Amino acid sequence: MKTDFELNVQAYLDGELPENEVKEVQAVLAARLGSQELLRELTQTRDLLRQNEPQAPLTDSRDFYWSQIRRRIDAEEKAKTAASQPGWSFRRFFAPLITGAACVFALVVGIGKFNSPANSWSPVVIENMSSETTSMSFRSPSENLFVVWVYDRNEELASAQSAEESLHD
Amino acid sequence: MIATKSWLRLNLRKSRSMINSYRFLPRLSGLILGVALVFLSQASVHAADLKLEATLVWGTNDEKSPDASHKPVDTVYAKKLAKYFKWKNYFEVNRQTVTIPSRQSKRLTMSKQCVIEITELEGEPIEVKLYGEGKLLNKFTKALTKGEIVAIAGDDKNESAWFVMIKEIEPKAEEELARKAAGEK
Repeated sequence: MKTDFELNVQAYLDGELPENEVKEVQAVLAARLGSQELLRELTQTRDLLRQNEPQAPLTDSRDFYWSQIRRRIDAEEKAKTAASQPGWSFRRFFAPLITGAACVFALVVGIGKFNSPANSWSPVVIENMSSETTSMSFRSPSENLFVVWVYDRNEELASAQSAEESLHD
Repeated sequence: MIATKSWLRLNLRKSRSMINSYRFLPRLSGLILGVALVFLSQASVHAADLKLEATLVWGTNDEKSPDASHKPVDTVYAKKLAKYFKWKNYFEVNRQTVTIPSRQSKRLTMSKQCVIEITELEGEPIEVKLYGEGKLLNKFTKALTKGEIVAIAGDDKNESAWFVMIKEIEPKAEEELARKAAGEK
């Protein structure tokens, strides 16, 4: 067990001794037998420790390092809170499911609306394949009906001519 | 050395942010899967065979058809036609159901003079070709939406008209048709 004097010498070496005690220790060191040897031994030990103490320099900046510690503490606290609250984990499990289901529902409804008869946006391509006929088309969204009316081109010309003639008459 | 440390630190931060984003992957993948399933189910509807019903209708102002085999047209068709056309009566001349395999065509002889050819195209559209007395007269391509009736029509002799009404048969309607056919027999 270290004596008070040895502890005082250690404190003196480390510069931690109050000024009023420094002189007292110096006086004892000068007068006491074997105290110089103790001083030398403690000095060597201190020097050895200083020279060989492993250094742990921070690679991150001080703020970043402490923010990481803060984050870990927060995460642990949250985990503890979650463990004590079963409802939270329930929400965590079902929230993505409910969100996904809502998105799918919205898509299905959207596609349903998109395909609904009222949404008659679909393009129609009509080609008259004969020089004798022509066609017209119309769509009734309310009746969900689409009609291509094919008629004789010659008849159309004839009716146009007769209409013109009747106008002249 | 300093550069290596900076690089390592940068990568460490990147990997941390990546790990954070990976936490959302299950949710994201679930959502994508859901969306994909919806689109696949939609796509599979159109990739399947197309079941259609084609009806040749004769529109006239006469009270009775000269052909005794003609019967008054279905009330649904009658109401729709009467709303837009001038004729008082509509008779069903011929009705056919057809299953068109995906991306294939089927010809339907509606009468001696009238033949239609229906092709199931990629996606929703169908192509309808009209042949009059063996001659291709008209062709149109149109998406067939649920419950929609597509008609190709024209004038006929004696101030009358003909209509070929085409509609997709839904599974329930198909069952009803089969039941009706069984009842008629």
